[in-house]
Amino acid sequence: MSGIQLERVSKEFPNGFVAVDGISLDVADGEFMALVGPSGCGKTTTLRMVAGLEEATAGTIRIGDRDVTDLPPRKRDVAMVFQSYALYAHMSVRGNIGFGLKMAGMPKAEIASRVDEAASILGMTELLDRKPRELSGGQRQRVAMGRAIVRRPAAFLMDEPLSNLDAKLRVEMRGEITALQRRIETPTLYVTHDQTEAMTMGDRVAILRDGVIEQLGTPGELYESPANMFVASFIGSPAMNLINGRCEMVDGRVTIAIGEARITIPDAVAAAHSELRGFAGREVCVGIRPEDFIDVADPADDDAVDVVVTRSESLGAELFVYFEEFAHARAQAAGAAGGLGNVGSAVDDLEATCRSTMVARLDRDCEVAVGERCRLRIDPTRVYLFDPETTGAIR
Amino acid sequence: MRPTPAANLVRVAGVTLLILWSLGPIVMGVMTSMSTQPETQQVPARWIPEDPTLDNYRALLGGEKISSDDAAADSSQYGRAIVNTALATVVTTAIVLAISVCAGYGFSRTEFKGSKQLLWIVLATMVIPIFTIVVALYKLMAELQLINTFAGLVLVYASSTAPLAIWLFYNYVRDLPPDPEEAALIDGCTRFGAFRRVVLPQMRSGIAALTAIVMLFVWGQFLIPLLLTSTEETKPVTVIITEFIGKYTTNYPLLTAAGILAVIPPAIIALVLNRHIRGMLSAGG
Repeated sequence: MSGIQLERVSKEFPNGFVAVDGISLDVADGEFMALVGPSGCGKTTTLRMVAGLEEATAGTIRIGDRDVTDLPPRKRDVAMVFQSYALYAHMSVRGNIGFGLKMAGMPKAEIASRVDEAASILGMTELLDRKPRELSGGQRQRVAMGRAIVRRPAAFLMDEPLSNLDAKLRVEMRGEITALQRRIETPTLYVTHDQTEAMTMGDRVAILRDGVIEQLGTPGELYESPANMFVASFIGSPAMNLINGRCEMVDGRVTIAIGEARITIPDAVAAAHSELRGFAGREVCVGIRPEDFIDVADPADDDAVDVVVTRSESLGAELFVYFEEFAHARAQAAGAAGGLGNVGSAVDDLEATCRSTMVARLDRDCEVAVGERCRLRIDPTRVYLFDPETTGAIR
Repeated sequence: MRPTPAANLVRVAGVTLLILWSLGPIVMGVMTSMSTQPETQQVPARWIPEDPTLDNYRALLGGEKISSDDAAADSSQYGRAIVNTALATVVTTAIVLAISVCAGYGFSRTEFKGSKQLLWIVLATMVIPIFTIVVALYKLMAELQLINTFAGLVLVYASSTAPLAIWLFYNYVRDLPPDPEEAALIDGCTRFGAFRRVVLPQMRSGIAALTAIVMLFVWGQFLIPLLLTSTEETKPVTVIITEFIGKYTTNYPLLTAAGILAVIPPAIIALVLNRHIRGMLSAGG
């Protein structure tokens, strides 16, 4: 078996802080796995444990067929790209890329050949004799990548390698890194705090919070079926709107009441959520993605609600409209979350989420003006429902 | 905001005053060193020699014997004293660098049981003034038969300089990013290998600065060698110069020429490594 396997890996620091709490993860051979989460969630610590730069206090780490849990970094056969690139300032680009091979005792001629090959792949042959200080951010990033690929390791580890680049270069390098990884088919663990980066690059994405994996799945699974409110609010940009609502049965059909608005859940959707009928008469947390609002001109559309636009942002191809019409309902949701002592920091996150303004992504042709009313309908097939007590998705 | 002309004037005047204050004694020393002994005793004082001479410098560097009649040392001993000082400075600096680079790196990058307490103990020795321990130090060195030995002098210099050097390096290494070192560990280095191949080259500037700081410190040492050396083979230049002063008469041109020559090496060190010294002293801030 190859790839990277983590079995119930934990990291407790001497001061008692548990940064990683029993994580299990299996990165298949050739797979690109993104670890994403907010600051302090344990993603970098996890990566550093795989690299051997931090000692795991519990669990087993395997790379390829070997148990590397107690091996020093040099014996793990991994290559790592750091956020700061960690280039050796006193060496040329050639020296940087070939350093690992030199340490492995490879003959000079072979080192030169491998370095040239890596430089050619990354399009930086003409930079080989320069020092890192003579390179731009993007070029340094390429050198760091070159240093990693030249060794042909059993696994790639990347710690936010794009976060020091400007937005345009970041998008460019995102494509380059994924293309390179597909080409060399080495299992890769990629840490980022940027959910867009994780979603666009990862074959699968693991979302971490407080040292625990909240959900692991393909980008599509995470987006379409978030396991809980944290994942729902973390994935997607802008984030999913989370509102307090009430589940009711009206004429035998599941209806969600949000303030004055009523959303009748289609029977097929209700049937697919077997737990939903059990919530009849109870509070639920309703998640609506910004793109699932539909601008309706018809004032007679009973399923639509009026909102007052507080802000609008045009991005050219789309229009983001912000409103606070659901403020009352949102405050209730925050209050409900406030009573959940057993879900830890989910409470804080939920309150923070619920107190933000709601947002809808509308067609660029929509005519809306700040301070004016806008009539929006919610796509009933695209409503996400969560249990406010556990914050888990209602399946 | 651009400074007003008045503020500029005050600044220029202040800087000029400071330069005069600092360089004035050196200029006076140079003038005196090129004067004759009678000229230095004229009243009113004569600041610029009538017929400048380099005889005193020649005597000091050429090994000629010039002295006050009742002085304990003469110019022929100066060359040996300079060599003694230079040798003690170079050897002490090498020892202090070796100790402080390793200790500073160790204290800032690794944590072991009692490491913080150990660092505090090392740093605490910096605050003990040398004059409070001279008697004990003399007794200890006598006991170890290290009086009038080069080794004894270097041992005391190194032990009195190392705590400051360790502290400076501790702060300096804390400011260095750990990533390249960790990258080296992943690239196949042992911890010592990463230190030697990646960390040490990163420290070049700090090592240069510390070299200068320790050299300047050791070059100017007076009390310790005065206490521990009494032979021509071990006395440094700071002690020999004071011995040019006789009980009743002093050859001031010779004395000042010796002083000016003694200032040249540390001045060169300070000038060449000035940029690194500033960086080192501001590390950890």
